Amino acid sequence: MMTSVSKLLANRANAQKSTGPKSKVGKQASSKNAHKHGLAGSLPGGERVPSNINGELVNDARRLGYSDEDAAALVDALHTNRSVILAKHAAYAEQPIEDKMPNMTMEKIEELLKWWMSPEVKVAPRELRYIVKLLYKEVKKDNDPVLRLRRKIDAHRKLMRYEQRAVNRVRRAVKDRK
Amino acid sequence: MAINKEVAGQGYEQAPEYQRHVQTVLASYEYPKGLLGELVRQLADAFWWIKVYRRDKENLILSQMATTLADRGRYVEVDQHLRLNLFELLSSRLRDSDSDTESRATLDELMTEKGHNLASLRAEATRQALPQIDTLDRLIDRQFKNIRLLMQAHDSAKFAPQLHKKLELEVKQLEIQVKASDDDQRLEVARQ
Repeated sequence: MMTSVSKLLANRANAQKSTGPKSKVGKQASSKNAHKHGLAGSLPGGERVPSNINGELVNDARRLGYSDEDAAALVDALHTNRSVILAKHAAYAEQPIEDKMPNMTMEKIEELLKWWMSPEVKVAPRELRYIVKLLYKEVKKDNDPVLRLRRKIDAHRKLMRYEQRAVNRVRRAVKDRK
Repeated sequence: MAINKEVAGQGYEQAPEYQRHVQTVLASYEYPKGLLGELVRQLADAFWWIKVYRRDKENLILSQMATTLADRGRYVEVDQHLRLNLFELLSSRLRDSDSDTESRATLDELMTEKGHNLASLRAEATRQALPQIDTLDRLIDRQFKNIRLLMQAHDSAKFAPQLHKKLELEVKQLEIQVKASDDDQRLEVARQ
């Protein structure tokens, strides 16, 4: 318990002090940090779906009277909507316990930080207070049920426009039968 | 955590409660397969979120009510345990389910201390959670629109082949009728 808590604290404390990546590779990697669901970009049809299922759905659409082109467009639209649905579920899923900061007071965080730091490391009291405050914010973010719920609602709010677009696409694709 | 029944990890959509819900909706459509099955599954998902958002709306208000009551001033940390207990108490009180007299008295005492009754506390909590409630209302509205569009899509996809066949037959019948009347006219002309 102690090791994993200190590890979490260390990771988050170091992250707060970071001035960002320096190397090209690091910059490239961090450029993907904000990538949440990939719904804004193009979604090639069948990318997340095995080709046999993809083929089955296209065949089914053909059986319902769609041309090859329209059947592919319809299946693609359904996949896009399915991706939005998966993103919505992922946004509402609870954070895994091991990634969560345990519920702690500011005093406990300070105590753990002092315990974790080696005696040679000299941290100014002001800097220590600053890190404790930042970590406490993280603790609250992970443990406050209302904040967690608000975060989930906000994630769904952000997905709403993709949802609207995806469902409209499905409706249009079903209609566009030549 | 009583406030929100969450499912840990990535597989929220794999949760038994969700799976049961999808199965119920599929059953009401007589378990369609393939493309129609996928459309019904997506429809079921929209129904599911309406349920979740409505529950979250209530939970948000209740937990805001609990926070207001547990609040001990700006510089004192809110007691999470007390807040959770208050949440449960308020929840049972609003559901009119039996709660012991002692709990009722504690709740009443806390509300009086804050200058509230149940209605005014709820109104205050709703006011504080208004941005999130507004978002949830928009999300619910979006799900209703999704349901309407997906139902239309399902019906078009399902009934279009029959409609197509019917139209084809009608066209053929019309063609025969036109051909017959043409033949009649030709015969008429020939006779004259």
